[in-house]
Amino acid sequence: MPVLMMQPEAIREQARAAFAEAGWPGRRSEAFRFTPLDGLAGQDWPLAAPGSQPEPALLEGPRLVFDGGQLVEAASDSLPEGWQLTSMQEDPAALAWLAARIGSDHPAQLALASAPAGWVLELAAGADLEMCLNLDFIGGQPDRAAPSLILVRAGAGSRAVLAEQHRSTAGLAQPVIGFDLAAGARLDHAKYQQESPATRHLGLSVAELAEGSDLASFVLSSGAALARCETQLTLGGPKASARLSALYLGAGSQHHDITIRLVHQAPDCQSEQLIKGVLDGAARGVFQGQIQVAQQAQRTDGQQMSRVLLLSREAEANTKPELEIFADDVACTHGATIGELEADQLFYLMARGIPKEAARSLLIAAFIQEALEQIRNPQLASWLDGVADSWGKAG
Amino acid sequence: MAALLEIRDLQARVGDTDILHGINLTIGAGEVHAIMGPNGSGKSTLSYMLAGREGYEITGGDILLDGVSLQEMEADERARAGLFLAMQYPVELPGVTVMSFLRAAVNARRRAVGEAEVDQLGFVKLVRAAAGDLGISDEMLKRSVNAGFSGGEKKRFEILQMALFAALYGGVLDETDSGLDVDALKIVSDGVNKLRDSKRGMLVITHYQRLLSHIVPDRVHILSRGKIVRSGDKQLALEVEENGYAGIDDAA
Repeated sequence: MPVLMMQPEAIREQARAAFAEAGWPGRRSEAFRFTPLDGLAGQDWPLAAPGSQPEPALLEGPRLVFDGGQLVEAASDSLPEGWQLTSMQEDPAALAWLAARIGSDHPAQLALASAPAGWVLELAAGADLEMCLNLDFIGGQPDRAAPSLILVRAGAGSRAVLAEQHRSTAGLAQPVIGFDLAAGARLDHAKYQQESPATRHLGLSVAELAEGSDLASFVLSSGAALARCETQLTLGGPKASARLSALYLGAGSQHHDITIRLVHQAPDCQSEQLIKGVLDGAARGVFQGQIQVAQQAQRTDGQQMSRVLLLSREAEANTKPELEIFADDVACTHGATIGELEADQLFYLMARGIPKEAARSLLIAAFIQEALEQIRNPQLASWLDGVADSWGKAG
Repeated sequence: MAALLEIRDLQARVGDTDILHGINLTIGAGEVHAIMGPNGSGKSTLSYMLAGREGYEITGGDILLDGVSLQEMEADERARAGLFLAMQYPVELPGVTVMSFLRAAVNARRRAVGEAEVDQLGFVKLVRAAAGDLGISDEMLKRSVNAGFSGGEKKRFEILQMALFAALYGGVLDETDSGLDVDALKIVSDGVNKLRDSKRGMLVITHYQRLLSHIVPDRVHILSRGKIVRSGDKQLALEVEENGYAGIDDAA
């Protein structure tokens, strides 16, 4: 893009001004209609204090620890050959890349403005790393904010596996993560949000896929008081493919929001989304899924399905699929269901001697399992596998 | 002969409609009874009443299994007490594998009587052997329960369950012949006949006579409009085959 490269301080200043102007989005904001954030106003959200004790790693492989949103090099592993870690201070183009892709009225502007540093994770062209790189977000205090700025750049033809583990205890967790996939790059990604019951999680992932690149991403959101896991993805080069799957598990008064804006910009691309939610107690779930197919994006294959299981009368789900298609040769489908456990299935299990509660757990676990089966990478799959059982039994 | 299953003047309502109007039926240990009837006669309602499906309300009379009333028992308790319903339309359970389903059902029984859970390896062997007898492949055992099964596979799987749960007192087979070709009917019938012994009883519910030439009943009852209108021996089934339900219905 022939624009003047902005220096980090100028970008931060611009973001500060943008957030001061727009403020926290309320119900009137179309993008946050079902997840108003004006309750977060009236607090200054100072940055989280460092000093948290890193918890044991839950995944094999090298780990980077982010305490209160900020990288703690002393607690992190050195990266294997192929990965390179750079500060955004030394790579201003990275911060500019993120800034250019965040709407001026988006609350991620606050993270841009306030994060004291940012990091670039660069995967060398042609690198093929089977071992998962684990980004572990911990620490933070209930009245403080934990913003993170990260850009993952996957070089041409590279392959890698990346996990984000969010177990922050901050009042506001704001990870803003970019995924810039060069031609032919292939990335397997999973994000597990299991933050403290008081945390508000506002995660934004921005992905751009060049020709023939391939992203398989899975989001599991079960923690926090309120969690919005938002993805903006552009299939920018021909024959790119994206699989975005998500599962949220809500109980008590939790609020889970999965928002995906997926743009087919180039021809012959493929996208697949399966979004599932289980809601118990008085939990609320939101899925907003927008697929946009540009005029030149011929032969687009775009699939979207969302399914929500309501386990109690007080639980509530809002689903808003949106298709905007400007090309004429496309195969796009979408579907959405919201329902309770099937009486037929419960009876069948009970008629085999299985008590009602156990029968419910079996059916819930099966519902969850279908979402987990979307995870392509075996290491990521086994990481999240135990979740279905434990939640099924607890719920 | 001791009464194994005794249905006493059973009246039932589903929603606002009275479906059963006083059914009396006694099955002794070792006996196989058949209930035949046209569509809408109350056959499926009766099977759900016996199994204890929610929403099927007993408005009068009682059902006794080995002398104990089933009225206050939930479906799972009845199953653990020894009642098995082979369903007309086995339900698909996507995501619940056959093995984990069978293990859950067997362990539920063991837990209820304070026994330890089944040994995994031994259980798999046991299931495979029983499945082989019914022509159920190992591949089928790896799938989700009934998901993508053909009509015949579903019915064979019902009989496999009946064999495994070792239905203490016996089974109720609800239209087990529907959707079966001749070969599958033979396999299913052989599976059922193997379970016939002096302790168990069975109630075979069917629309057509053909199942009863494979599973030969001791008694045949004709159900029409929620009442048993005639009872007899296996000849009665042949008579229905010959003349249809019309004449019998009129006699009621």
